[in-house]
Amino acid sequence: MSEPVLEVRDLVKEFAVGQGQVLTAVNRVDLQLAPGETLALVGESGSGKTTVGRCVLRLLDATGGTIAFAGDDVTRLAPRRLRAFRRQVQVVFQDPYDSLDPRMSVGAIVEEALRELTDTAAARRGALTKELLERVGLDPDAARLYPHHLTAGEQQRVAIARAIACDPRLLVLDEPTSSLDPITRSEIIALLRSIQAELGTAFLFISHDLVTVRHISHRIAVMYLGEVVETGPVEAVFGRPSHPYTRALLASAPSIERGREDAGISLAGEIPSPIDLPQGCFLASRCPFVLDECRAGHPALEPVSRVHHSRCLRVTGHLAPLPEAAPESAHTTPNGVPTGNRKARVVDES
Amino acid sequence: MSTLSLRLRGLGSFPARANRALIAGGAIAGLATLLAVIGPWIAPYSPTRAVGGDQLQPPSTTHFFGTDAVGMDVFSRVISAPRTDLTIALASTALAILVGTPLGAIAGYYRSRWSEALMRVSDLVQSFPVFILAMAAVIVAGHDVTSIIYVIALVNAPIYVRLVRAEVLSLRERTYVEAAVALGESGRRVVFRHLLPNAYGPILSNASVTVGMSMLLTAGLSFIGAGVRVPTPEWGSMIAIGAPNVVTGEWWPSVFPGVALSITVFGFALLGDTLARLTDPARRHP
Amino acid sequence: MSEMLHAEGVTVDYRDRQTLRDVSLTVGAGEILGVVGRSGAGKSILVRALINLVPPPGKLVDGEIRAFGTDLRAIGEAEARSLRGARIGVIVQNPRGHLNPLLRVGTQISNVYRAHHDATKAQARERAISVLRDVGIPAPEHRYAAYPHELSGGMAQRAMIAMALVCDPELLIADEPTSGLDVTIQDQILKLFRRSVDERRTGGLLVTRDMGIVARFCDRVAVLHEGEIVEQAAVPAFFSDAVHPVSTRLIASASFAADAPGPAEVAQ
Repeated sequence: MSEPVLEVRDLVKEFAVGQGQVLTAVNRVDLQLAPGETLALVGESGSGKTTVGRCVLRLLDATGGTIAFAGDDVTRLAPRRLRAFRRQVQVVFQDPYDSLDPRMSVGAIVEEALRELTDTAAARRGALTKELLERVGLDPDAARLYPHHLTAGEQQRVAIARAIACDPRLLVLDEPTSSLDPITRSEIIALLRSIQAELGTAFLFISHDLVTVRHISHRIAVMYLGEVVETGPVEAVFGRPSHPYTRALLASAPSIERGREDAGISLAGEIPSPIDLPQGCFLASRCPFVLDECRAGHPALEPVSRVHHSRCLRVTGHLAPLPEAAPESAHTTPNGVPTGNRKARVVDES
Repeated sequence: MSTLSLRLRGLGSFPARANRALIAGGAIAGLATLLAVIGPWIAPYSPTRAVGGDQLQPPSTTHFFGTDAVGMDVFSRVISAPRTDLTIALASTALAILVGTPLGAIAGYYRSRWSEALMRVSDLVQSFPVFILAMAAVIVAGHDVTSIIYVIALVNAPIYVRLVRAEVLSLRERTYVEAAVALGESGRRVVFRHLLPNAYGPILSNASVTVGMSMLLTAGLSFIGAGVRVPTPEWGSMIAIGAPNVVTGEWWPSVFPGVALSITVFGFALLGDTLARLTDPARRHP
Repeated sequence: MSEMLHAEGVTVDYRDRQTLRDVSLTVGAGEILGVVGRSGAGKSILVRALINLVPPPGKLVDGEIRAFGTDLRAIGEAEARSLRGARIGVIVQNPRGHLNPLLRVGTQISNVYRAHHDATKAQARERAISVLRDVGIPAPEHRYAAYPHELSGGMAQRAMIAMALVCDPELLIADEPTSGLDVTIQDQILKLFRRSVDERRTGGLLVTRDMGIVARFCDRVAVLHEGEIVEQAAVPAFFSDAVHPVSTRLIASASFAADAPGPAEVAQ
């Protein structure tokens, strides 16, 4: 690909938690984003996807690894030097109302972005604000309203207008539609796609919603416990999921197409603690296809095809291939209710 | 956008219930302020000199509130007192807010050793019994109005340091603050543009209480002789001077200034609270 | 077939606006009825109306509501309360608002159980731990002693669900019980509901915004729009033959079918 808009290598983010322990939220993640494409970062709570987003935005300082934007290493840049970066990388958050200053009018919110991040003359900002509001599907007169006058969908449109005011090359979207109702969700996704088509913005789309992700992404990276377990073009990953975790995620996401059909892959027990990570494959304690060798060493991300990578030893050819259906799992009680694996350490999901 | 015109029309409207409170509080505060300005001029008698020989006369048509033990007309003194009371109360409150707010905001946003040190100093000031501290400070600084203003401001500033810090601490977790940082805004801009304006509400509510408390503190200081000097009319000192007479049945030198003080404190409380509600765009139209 | 819930002509007023108008629906034994609609359609008020607990200033002005054949509007509050706790389980949104911050989570669940069953403290505790395990809370013996603020949002939500299930209710009314939870946990909990309904022939009413959940876990679905039921059908027929514009929009948006193909499809 031509020079990637975003290149993340070996990203590590650790947090110190009480009693000298370290929580590894992001565990050596590699990502690449080409200009104008959408990479979806998918996972559940505790996967580290939100933390990756915050690190890419430089709202958090990475503990290790590098983040390069358009070839420039921005990992260690001091806040003062980040101005140029901020003009190119913007964000849309999950909670539309909370992301808008309740005391500022809609117009003021968008104008602030113009003032901070563009060289627009003060006299021009009002007109440009109205254009931006129109671009995101709002009536330009809405500039006089305040956030609490708007519906959630409209608030998110304002947030999007604010984010594209500086015509950024990269937009990080952290669960932008998760708190919206399905009709609004599809409208916002349509809006985002039209913006990408028109402005050529690359999207880092962080989400737990596989159904939504399929309709806006070119490539997808699935995260579990701070690392990427599978990555590839979106139709390849959906069509040929190459990691038990991906298969479990897909099986749990209800959709109209699948209806009542039960794909049968489910994970037993609980996610291990990110403070005390297991030695072998992170999924071993819950995986219905686990073999003894899975616990031996930590598997690396290896190719399944030229563009499709997986961390599962059984997929990348090191061990016996994955069967189609889940075996009679040793992890479930007789009446089928999954139990916790008592040897695995457990932690709050938040 | 549906209903856009409806929403735009709602922008300028005033919630009805706030009207009554605003009118009542505003009227009282307004009257007090008016008296502060013109009180001594319109007073029928001199507020600082006795009217020969008429001590402790009960309220009558010539002396609406009667006269006190020295012979001064109580009514004239009561309406002249706001010039002192209000000046002290408003000035000291304003000073406390002007000093305490930025300090609290900085302590809340930047968490460093300096912030901690500031909070400990603030705690120290607050841990002294208010009265004792005020007394001691007045003895050092003097009995004049300016010194009293500084003293009361000092006593009240920690309230605002703490209040604003608490607001900022909770507000800085809000997503819109993260969004402002993502827009590249400097710390100073985030604090003054996004955090402080959202803290106005509690500051205003508290300000009205502080104004009232300042008046009471001034009154208290005067009561024990550490406040304004006699014969400057000041409600507190009037209550104090008239107190011995209450037991002998001459209630008017103390009660009238007492009632005036209470009503004024109440009026400011009402005003401040309503203003706090009205300046918050979200609370205006629930 | 016995009807677990029968509502007819339910109308709720809220400050001279009708938030629900002439709503009629039934939940039979062994089936789950899904209730869908946009935000503000009246789904949450409907849940409250169905158990006759509309909060003032709202008022249930008309309609018949029968649970297990008993008219909920005719019985006294004491009898209604015992029905609601023991035979009707209700799950609402905002779990934290419904957990007492001063009591341990396990105690609250045990208390519900003991309010409706003759059980010792130890038996109630066993039951509470078992139901906490069913909703997927790890180390439930330890979590039993936790206070609500010690639990993450997802856990608090699951604790609330456990509280609704502890008495093995015959009718479960749930208002978006799994919104915000991880999809694997959501799957686990909804499968739990489904299993209970299938095995014990109980009934369920599930308010949701997720059409996928309707397709997978519900037998019938009712579409609520601006306080009225505009369409009601069995699930497979609904997805193939829905007629009302709100229904078709909900279905289309769920599969994003109204839009052009996704970028990946275009690229290939």
